[in-house]
Amino acid sequence: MEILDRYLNFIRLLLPRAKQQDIIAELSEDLRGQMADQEAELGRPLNQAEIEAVLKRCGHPLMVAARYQSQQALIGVPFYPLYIFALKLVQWVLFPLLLVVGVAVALFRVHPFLNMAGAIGDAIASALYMVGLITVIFIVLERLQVKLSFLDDWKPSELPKLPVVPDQKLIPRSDSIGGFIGCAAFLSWWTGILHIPQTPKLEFLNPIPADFFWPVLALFAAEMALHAVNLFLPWWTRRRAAVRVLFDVCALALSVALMRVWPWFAFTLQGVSPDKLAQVEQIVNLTLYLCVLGTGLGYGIRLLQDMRRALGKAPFANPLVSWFGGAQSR
Amino acid sequence: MGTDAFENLRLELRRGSLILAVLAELRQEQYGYTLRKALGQHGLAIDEGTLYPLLRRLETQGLLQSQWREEDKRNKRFYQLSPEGIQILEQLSAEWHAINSSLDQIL
Repeated sequence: MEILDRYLNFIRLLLPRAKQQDIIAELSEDLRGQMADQEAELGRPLNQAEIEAVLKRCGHPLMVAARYQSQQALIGVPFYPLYIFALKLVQWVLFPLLLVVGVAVALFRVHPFLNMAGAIGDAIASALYMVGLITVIFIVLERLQVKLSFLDDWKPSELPKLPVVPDQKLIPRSDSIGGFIGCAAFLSWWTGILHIPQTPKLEFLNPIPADFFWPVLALFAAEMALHAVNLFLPWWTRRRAAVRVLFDVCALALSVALMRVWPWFAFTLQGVSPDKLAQVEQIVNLTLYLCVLGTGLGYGIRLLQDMRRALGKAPFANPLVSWFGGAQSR
Repeated sequence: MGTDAFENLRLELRRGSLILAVLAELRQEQYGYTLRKALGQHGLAIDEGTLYPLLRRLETQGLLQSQWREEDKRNKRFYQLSPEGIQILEQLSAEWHAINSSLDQIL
């Protein structure tokens, strides 16, 4: 019966000390009873395989011992929905807030790239710490079996009035976060806060006219603000859609104005023949022209979608159109 | 997938019924192994890993009482319904009959 003893000893180790003796004695009695019955039936002692079969049927020691634990779940039913709600707050409020503030502060430091990476790391670490802390708090509440009186003592009429938002009006939070970070990155480059290292021999002769500086800055700052609002109030209202119609029209006008002063760049590159240089200029300018054209087209489609939202109509459901014009559902 | 869903629902359906069956069987004093055999003979097989924790829970709730005693040269733990367990069994039996008759009408 060495296998049986080994099996029972394994279970014993996993049981609460106060109950070990009692549980093992009872389980041992049952298993020995089963084996004795089988032996009587077969008229001979059980071989090792037959003993193992009995133990296997009883279950793995981990599973057997687990069934004797008084607490079967780390966080039980009354606390679980609250726990998930707290985690969602971390995911959608605390983490974006830490990220945005951290990145914004990093942009004004001496080494923005390095500081930005640090800020992102800090935001992730802080969010994870918070998740850990919340988990520990809820485990303790579960262990202490704290009674949540508000679950029994509540009135339907006192529930908060939350807006009923149809799917087509919902703004995915990923869109708002991505948009906000994208605008912040572009603006920091546009204003020169973020310095992108350039090839030493490359020199721009004809930079984009200074007239575009303030309109582009204003447009992207406004877009950034709208993304921030959308993050915390993630559904379209007619007024907010109308505001974005204005942004779309401005962006379209800027794209057209920018295309009218094309080509934008001319280079001086030491050690490169004029023919080669002309070729490089053409490729760079044409690529950027196509980028601005694509952006303008994107804004055109977005304008169409936003006009429909502003008029209280559902945006077009075509996947390509909705990708350009902002996804229409989660 | 369908088999898994059926198995989960079957286990859920059995769980409550098994408690009632265990309580009913323990109107007469029995130890764990004979109780398991008796339930198995009635078509309600229950493994030891489920039965003993259940017996412990019911005892903690005051529905069962138990004592260790030697029988056939082996120490065994005998269980029996407590006075409170007898009352609860009566109430649960009535509830079971009501559910059963309702289900009979629905099914």
